[in-house]
Amino acid sequence: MLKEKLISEYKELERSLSTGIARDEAIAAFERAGFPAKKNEEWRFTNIAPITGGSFSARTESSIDKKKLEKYPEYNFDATVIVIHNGHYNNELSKIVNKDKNVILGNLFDPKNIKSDTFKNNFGKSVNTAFDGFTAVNTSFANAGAFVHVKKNARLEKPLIVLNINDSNDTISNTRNLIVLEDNAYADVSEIYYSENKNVSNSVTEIFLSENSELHHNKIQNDGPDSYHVGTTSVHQEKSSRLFSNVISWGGVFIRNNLNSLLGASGIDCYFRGFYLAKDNQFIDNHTLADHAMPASHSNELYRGILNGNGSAVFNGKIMVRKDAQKTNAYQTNNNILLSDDASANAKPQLEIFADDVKCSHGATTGQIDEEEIFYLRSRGIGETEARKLLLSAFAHQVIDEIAFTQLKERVAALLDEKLSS
Amino acid sequence: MNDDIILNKISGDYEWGFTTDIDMETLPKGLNEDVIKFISRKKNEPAFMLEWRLKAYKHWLTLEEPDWANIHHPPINYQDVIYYAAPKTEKKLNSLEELDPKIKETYEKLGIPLVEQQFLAGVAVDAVMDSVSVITTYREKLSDLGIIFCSISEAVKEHPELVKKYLGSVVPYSDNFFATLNSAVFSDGSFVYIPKGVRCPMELSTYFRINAANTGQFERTLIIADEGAYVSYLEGCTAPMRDENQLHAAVVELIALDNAEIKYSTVQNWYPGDKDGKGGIYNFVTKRGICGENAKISWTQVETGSAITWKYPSVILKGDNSIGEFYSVALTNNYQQADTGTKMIHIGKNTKSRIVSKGISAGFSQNSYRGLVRVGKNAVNARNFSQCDSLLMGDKCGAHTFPYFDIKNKKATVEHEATTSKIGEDIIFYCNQRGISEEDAVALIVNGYAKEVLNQLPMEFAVEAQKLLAISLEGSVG
Repeated sequence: MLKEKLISEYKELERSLSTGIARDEAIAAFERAGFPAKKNEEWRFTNIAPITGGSFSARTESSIDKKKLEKYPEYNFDATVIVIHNGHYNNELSKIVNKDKNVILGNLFDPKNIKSDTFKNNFGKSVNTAFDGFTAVNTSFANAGAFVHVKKNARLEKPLIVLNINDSNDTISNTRNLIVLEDNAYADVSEIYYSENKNVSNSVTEIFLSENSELHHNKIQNDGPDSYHVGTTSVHQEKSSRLFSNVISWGGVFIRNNLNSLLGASGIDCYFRGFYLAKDNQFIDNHTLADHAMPASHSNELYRGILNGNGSAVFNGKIMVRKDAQKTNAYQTNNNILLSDDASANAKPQLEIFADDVKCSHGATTGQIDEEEIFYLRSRGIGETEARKLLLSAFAHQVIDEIAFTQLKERVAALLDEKLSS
Repeated sequence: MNDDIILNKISGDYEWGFTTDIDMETLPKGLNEDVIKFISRKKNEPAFMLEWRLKAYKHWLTLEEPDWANIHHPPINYQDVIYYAAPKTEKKLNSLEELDPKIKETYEKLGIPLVEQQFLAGVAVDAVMDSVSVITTYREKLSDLGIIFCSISEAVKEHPELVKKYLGSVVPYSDNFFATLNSAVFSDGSFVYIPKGVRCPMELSTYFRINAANTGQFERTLIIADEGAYVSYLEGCTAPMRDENQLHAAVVELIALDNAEIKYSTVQNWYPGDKDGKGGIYNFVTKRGICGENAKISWTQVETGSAITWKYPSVILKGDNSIGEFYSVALTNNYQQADTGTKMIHIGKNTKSRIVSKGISAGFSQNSYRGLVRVGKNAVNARNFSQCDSLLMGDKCGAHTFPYFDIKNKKATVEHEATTSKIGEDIIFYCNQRGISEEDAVALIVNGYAKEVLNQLPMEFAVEAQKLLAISLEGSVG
């Protein structure tokens, strides 16, 4: 079983991992809590047995050359690139050009970053190792990831690409990112995942947004057909901060994304957007939580998915409005299109509201392409295949067009086109 | 007329809180095989019934009380409940005059039209006082049409073949903790059978009433509409004021065979507990119907009572082209907790379902909608529309929505929308400007909000519901 294997591997690997992190506590918490049980409501529709019953090793090795990297278009973007290969940070091939002393960029597990106050004040503060086995494993083993610290009034000049490439077999690699934006700061960060072979990537990203800061955060999952991904993005938002999160999932055999934001002050804008496309036997699960703790903030969520073949998807979106969060505006929409009889969609949009002066709504639909729309297009001389593609593409673009980084948006649009053509 | 229902709620105390002094034959507290044998013997049941009850009891012992609902209450001691109580007048009555005057008085206080029925002709009442059916009226008129409308204990004796065939066919004895408990100890309830092609000419109605202190009520209702039949059934409840929590675990099974239609309406107004959340009924109900081809089942409920409501009237859309509907108004005030909703299980082709749920929470109450829409692999062209709205009054209450969707067919269309809001100050201001006081304005708005559901209630019931709805929204407006 994976649990026992990881616990024993930890003892051997411990010494090779960077110090200054509460790894022992994390592995102890993992030993107690283990992986989430099927009975856990948050994991009810998610079968993690292929991961937990598998024999994945946390012992990973890295060797990658520039030639291979250049095959990934994202590597060649006009951006800062942090390369993480099989859970190892590659300093040589990462492209970090940063002259601004108000911006700190690099590997999170660089000793000087671990020693910084920013790290001490924020690392592990927004995720709960004690209750979530995957996060506990990540905290125990992670030794690479992006560190973004943008000081007061500063801007991240170029978008940051965190390029995660996993090509080892039967491994579990852990990436840990930390993004801290001080007052009025700005950043655009994209996590890109590619994988080959059969492996698990387990990532955790913690984000702290101070007053009036703005973050564009993208997560693009282009994994190969045998890979598993479990990821948690946990955000803490302060007054008038703005978060724009876009999650695009279409790779991998199994994807579980947890995305949550604590809206801990007023005047906050929080946008969650996601698009997923599952075919063959792919399973894509998105769990989101917009947690309104204080008055007068705004959250808006749009997740859309297309399901084909034996593909299945879970969407679980929760809006929590706590007692003090009066004047909250919270909206959520989930749309699914089913293209085959064997595809399935499982949606659970939830509202939990404890304040009275709020405007909250959610909507969820599952259906198929409207035949009348097809007819409309066909009567204008567009072939049926083309018409279907056009409609599906428009459906997806509602989400994809929200990506602010133009080069990335174009890349994602091209990938969509490719996927809809096949 | 419907408009008055909620308007009438804007009044003080629980109007229907009184107890009747009638001699009760009561078993000691506790549950064991002997209790079940006693109940079965008391009712002169055939052997198959006792066997079924014991099977359920044995299964119940292996179950644990579910804890997934969004409700909180002190643990229930199932050995501290009286499982059988019956008024001693077991003799069959021929006319209303023979009825125990005390019971008659009770009904008069409740406004049940036993006396007024001459005027309200068209409503047949099978009044249930605690556990035994006291009087059944209009049976003869119905029996001319071949309609069977009697208590379930009578049905067990007189129509064992129907009971044997259908009892537990929609809610099996092993269904869930509370349904299993009910299967073991159910005391009485109603039985309706509408023969092929018959349209029941009147609304059938039963009034349930908890009377003996510490008596759990375990009602069992079984309604069968044979091919092409139609019936509209009304269920309403009031309960006397009590300090101790009373357990109520009912089961309702509806069977609509091909081309049949069943309309089931409920006004639930069990004692909700006092202003501090003391007392009140714990109401754990399993309601489910199954549709044959082209059949239709429609649930309408107005839930205003009970300290705890745990209730999910569901429809299994098994036959092609069948239709399921769920209309609900759930109002919680003070410390009430309601976790209610529906399940629509689409199995057949071209099945349709519609869910309209309106929650109103005030005071310190918690109101949850929990619903499931499942579209199976073969449910081609299944169609669902759900709307779940919540209205919040006051900042100490909560409104929650937990919808689940499980879609496995590409030709299905499922839509869901939910909103939560409070009554807009601009709307109140608009009313104020036109000389409508704040309280009246709120009543007006709440009425309009719930109208979509109230409109579904049959006329006869709306009159009754008007009296039954009596929890106050007063004071929660501000």
